Amino acid sequence: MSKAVKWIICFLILIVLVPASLFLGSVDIPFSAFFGGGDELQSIIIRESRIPRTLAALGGGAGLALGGLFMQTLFRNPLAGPSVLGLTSGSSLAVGILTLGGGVLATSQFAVVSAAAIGSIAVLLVILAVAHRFANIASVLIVGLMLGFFTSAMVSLLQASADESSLKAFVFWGFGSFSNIAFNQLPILLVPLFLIFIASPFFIKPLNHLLPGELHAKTMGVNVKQVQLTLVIATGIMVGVITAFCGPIAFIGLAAPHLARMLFSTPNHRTVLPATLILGGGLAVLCDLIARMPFSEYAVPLNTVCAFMGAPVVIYLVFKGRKSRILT
Amino acid sequence: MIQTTKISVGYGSRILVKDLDLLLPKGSVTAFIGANGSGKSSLMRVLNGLQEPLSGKVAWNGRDISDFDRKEKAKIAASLYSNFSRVEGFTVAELVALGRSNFTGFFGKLSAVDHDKIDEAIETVGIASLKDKELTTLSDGEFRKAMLAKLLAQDTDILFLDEPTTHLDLPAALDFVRVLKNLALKGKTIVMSTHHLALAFKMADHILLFDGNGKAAFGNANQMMNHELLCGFLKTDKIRVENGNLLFDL
Repeated sequence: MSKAVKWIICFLILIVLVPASLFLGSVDIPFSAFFGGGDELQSIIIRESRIPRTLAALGGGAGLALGGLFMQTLFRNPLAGPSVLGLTSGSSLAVGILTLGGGVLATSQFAVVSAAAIGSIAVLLVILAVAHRFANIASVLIVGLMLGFFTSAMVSLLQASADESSLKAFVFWGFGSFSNIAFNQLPILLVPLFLIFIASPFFIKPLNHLLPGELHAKTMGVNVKQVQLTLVIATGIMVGVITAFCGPIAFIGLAAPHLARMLFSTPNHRTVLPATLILGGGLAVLCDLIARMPFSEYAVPLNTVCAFMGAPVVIYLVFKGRKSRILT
Repeated sequence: MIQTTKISVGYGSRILVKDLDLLLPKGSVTAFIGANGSGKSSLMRVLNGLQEPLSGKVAWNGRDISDFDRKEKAKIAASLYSNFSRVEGFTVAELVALGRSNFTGFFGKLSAVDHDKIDEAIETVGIASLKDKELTTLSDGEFRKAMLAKLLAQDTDILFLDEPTTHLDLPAALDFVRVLKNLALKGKTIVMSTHHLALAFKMADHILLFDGNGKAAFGNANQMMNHELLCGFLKTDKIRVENGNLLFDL
């Protein structure tokens, strides 16, 4: 299969999934409603539900996938994802404190979004404050993981003493969802993501030079520290805004870069970076579509679907890793 | 050409090389020889501009290396360090293409000239038949040659090679060294570190011996082939020189 055919497949996936995501849902909306032919309720659903969630899934999935790609190349670790920096854990803790510890305060969606953002930003600031002190970028990975353990311990502590309704609210946030974002909030999510997507091709060459190792990149004239710091900040911003609006979304960021490498059978970022963006967006729209189970009155949590889709990819990697190691 | 003026190399209070003056002319091969941890790799990184010296200056082609920016350095010197890893999924041609990156635009699109240079580099090291093979399927010797081709594609005057023959079997090591020697004859300045004493004396124009305590001895290979010098610097009494040949006692 030629490279051009593979790109066409990537775009076809989006061309099929995006309209499907717009048309399918618990309420049937005729095709004409998208062009102003529907009644008022239908146009509200389109504007406030279908369009925001499709765009959030598309942008959020692509952002998580790009963050995952950055982290996998930076840490030279195939199991790194956008969550390795511990930002998601920071969000979880902040949202946990708000919903579980807040008690008396009614938690509005705005408060949850703010808490998640504050949690991510706080962790990002901690990482940036200490990052330049590390001799080795792997230390950032370890700190991120440890922050994750620490915050989940704090969250368990909060859960143990929380009442039923606030526990439920927190668990629901933890399911992840692309449907909590309103139309007028979209720019807050999409503008930073879009700016990073536009800038990302400038990192194709440095990322490729990092593949044989940091020292290799240095000998090729790459300012390794600067690239590492820039990509950590970019990933932090993406994960921060996505987690704020959509909750902690698992597996997409880890799986999409691997899908891109597998499909095009190359680790060259010139191909893998754009493919990761497309496949990440497509994967998120697909997971979201499955999660809302359009032909039934039920819905399943987004993260459940992501795990069902993502876990087999990771298992496949482990099997493949027996023959040849990834990125080592 | 590489020149150093009173260069000292080390970490903190540990001084590995002290006040060394070197002149490595264009088209020469210099081999660094010394025990593990004696400062071979550290001096190489300093000469390569990847590590700051404790004191002193390094110049390439008569120009102080602190005057070059990162990208300029990569256009004058290409390097192979022993911890460069095989990228899974990369073919030989893709690896060698990395060497062209400072000649390409932002997104790394290769021109016809770049493709010619890549083919030429692969041809020069003698692995044309492996061009589209994945790196993970190569032998150690083939992989080192692929890396060398990447260095050549970089089109630089100077090549730094950190223990390039380690882990290679003898035929592969001989073959690799023969390619290096040919490159020097074509005008490349080559600096390599090695534990292959016999190989080093066979192919190098200059030898730099390290004792790891700040002392270094530099000279052409004939001068340096001396029982006292070698045994003193390498802290052994098992090396003999007879009729211009190195012999090793057990």
